[in-house]
Amino acid sequence: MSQQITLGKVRRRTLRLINFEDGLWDILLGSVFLMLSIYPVTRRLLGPAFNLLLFVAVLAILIAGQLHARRVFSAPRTGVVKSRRTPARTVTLAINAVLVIATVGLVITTLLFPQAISGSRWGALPGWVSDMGVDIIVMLVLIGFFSLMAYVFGIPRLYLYGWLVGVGNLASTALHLYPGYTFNLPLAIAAGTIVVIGVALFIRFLHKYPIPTEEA
Amino acid sequence: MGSPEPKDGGVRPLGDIDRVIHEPARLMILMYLYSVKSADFVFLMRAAGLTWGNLSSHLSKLEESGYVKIEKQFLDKKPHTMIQLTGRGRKAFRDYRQTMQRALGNLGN
Repeated sequence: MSQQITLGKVRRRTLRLINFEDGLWDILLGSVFLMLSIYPVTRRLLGPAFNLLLFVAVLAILIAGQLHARRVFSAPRTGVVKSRRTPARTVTLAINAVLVIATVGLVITTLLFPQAISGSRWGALPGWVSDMGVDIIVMLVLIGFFSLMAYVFGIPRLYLYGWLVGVGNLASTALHLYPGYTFNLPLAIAAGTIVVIGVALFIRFLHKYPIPTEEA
Repeated sequence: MGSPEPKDGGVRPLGDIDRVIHEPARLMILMYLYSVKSADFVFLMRAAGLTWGNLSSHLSKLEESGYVKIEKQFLDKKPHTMIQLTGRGRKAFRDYRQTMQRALGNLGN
């Protein structure tokens, strides 16, 4: 063993192997942001209530699909782990849940109401700042959140994801300043890139971890 | 149980090291089991980089020493072997860590 092994590294490796090695989490993440990118378009077509129902239904299907794929493809290849319930872990999960909900909420808000949450409060600032101030903050929150995850879990590609969705979201809301623009193409491209990375990781995972058979 | 400072200046004899844990593969297995509640055979094989037979042999040794508990379960109608540290195993691992930290920490003095 050429590198130092600590319990912290063991815990992180366990987390990576069980949750992030197969690429399924990346596919789910990219799909969620893809849905968010078309949310304003479907909202206009279906109305707010049906659109929200559709969003929640598709999200539930995506999550169920990911869990099923993990059970069928990943668990036979990388095994099953039951985590210890410690106070620190409970707090970490709670903070993660709050951050995820806040992030999704912020992204939806900036995509649906690009003008309404900017403006008069920022009157003393240059026009583009007062128009884009909140969106810049959302971008920084997204980059910060993913960077923190990348550092804590030791997964470098999460740094890239933070910049992709942060800048994608900002660019999408910036384009809304132009009349007639409806589809959030930059965010869709960012989300699509994450999905493609996830699919590539999944294919690599299937080759790298064949289902082990008991030796004779 | 506190013990008085040994005459050798605080270096606990390395002969006291638990040799069941001190083997590299078993140490690796215990490190992973220490950080989780339980794990199955496949995970330990992947994480520790051992072959099926090798892992089986080390787990038998750990089970004989009372450090791990091996349970055969059924998951989705398929047999599944789950392994977890016993209370004795957790204590033994903690004691091993403290012993090694004390012994290696005094090397520089």
